[in-house]
Amino acid sequence: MSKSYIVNTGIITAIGNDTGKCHQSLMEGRTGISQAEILQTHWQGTFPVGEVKMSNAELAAITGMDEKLPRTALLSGVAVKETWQAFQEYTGSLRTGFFSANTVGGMDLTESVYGALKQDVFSVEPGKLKYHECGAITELVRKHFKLNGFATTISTACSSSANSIMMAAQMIENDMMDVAIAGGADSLSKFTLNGFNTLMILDKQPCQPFDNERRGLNLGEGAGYVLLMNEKAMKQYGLAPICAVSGYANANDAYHQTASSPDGTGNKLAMTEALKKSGLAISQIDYINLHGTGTANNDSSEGKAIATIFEGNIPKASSTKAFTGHTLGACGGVEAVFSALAIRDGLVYPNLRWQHQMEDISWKPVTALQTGLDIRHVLSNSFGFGGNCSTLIFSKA
Amino acid sequence: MNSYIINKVGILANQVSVNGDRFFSDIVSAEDLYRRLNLGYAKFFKMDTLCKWALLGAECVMKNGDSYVYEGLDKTKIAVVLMTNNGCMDVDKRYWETTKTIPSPALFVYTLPNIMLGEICIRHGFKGEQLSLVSDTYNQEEINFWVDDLIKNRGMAACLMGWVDVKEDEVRVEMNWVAR
Repeated sequence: MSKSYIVNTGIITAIGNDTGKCHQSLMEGRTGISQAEILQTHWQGTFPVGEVKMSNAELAAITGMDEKLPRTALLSGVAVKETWQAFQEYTGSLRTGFFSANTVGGMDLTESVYGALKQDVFSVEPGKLKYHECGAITELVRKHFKLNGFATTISTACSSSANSIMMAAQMIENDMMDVAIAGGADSLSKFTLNGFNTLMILDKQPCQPFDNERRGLNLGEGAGYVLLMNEKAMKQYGLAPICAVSGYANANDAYHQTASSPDGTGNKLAMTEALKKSGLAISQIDYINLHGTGTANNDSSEGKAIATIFEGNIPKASSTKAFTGHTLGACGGVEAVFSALAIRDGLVYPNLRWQHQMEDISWKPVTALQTGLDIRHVLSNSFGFGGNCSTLIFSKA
Repeated sequence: MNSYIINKVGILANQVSVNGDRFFSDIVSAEDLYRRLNLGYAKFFKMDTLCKWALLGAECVMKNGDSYVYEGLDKTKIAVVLMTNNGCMDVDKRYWETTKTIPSPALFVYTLPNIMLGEICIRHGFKGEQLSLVSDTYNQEEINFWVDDLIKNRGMAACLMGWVDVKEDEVRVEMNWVAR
């Protein structure tokens, strides 16, 4: 039995198409929030988004995948390539798994033919609907990278990719696997943008997480994966870990379809159980990467849950969604990468655009980049619709 | 089969029968039945018609005098498997109307048929496996297959199962409480 360790990362978001570029944007405080150019929507010019400014053809060119595939698969491919390419030739007898989350599946292609489908079903190329469901995305990426071991898709809204990392860590700890590529991807789509608009939680300006005057979230897109290994696999590859996955938990708020309970019951449960699993004292957490979407509801519930658990001893905390937008099924993976980098480089990212102290909590997020710190333990939150709340804890190895 | 039906409820033609006995008659609406059951669960009034009838069916089949049949059971081992044909079509249509002006968030959150499972689980605290199936008719062979599997092979101790279908004024609910 071995812990699972993060040995490499792969990421693409609105602030960069690999780990190095995302890291640089975070260091320079450069946001990725802008008006939609690639997503064809009625709301272009109304709702800013965290869009990857690359066409499907440009994304496909990075990996050699077919540009006609769903954008979520293409984004996933870019991040999986960065995570896995250097290691793929030398797996030997190691058992390798692929845990990939998403929430939109091939919705972008379905949307592209939806109008025609209503007019005349037979006018639509069947290939456009073939990848509609979420599992198809994982299959496409798995096949492209010849990941022939265990593979699974998790779709639990905004906590999806946190849950895929949790599942991978559990399987490694239980000696069911030696190596895992775990995280998730999601592209922007009309479906999600219109859905979040119906819920009246989109911000028409760049979002301001944990600000008293916050107006809502900006949707984002991207993919984020971590490469997890047990000690045996690290030894075989001759690798040193960036950090370990030391704690995790998933809980359900059981309150509302799309809202958190006012006191963050599920949030508290997830954080408490993850802390218990890690064996850490609350005072040992050096940084919290907040879920921090920028909606009135999330930031208030999450803020109160943190205040209750950490009682007057609140760690440094920030939301990176003001950089990337809320990448839905990808955010747990994206923020796991950011958490690993925070440990590796001893830094805490700024919670961009923060101006006003929230009235219902007494603490505030970190607003300027902090460097030269000894960040030993990072707690990362991902809270999804359906009350699906997850917390991951990463620790210096 | 290790599991057997303990309670059985049917809601049809404006009446509720439990285990074959007529329980309520001349029900004029879901709200009417809610009042007759003395539920005191204000969230009921926010729900779409599918959720309302599913919740009422669950209430009728699980209520055992002043308590519930699941008392004493581990709620992580209580499953819910429901089947429907029209699903939440009623709220889908009502939501679609609102998109012409301001899309209603209150209706939008009910535009998935499996929300009826969520509402039942929230009310009763069930945390076991959940499955929502869509079928043209109440396919008992299929639903029995899933419920049997949950109880025989997936560690579930009990299951609330059945058919909930609402189309305009036609309501048909058949629910069983099944346990090992």
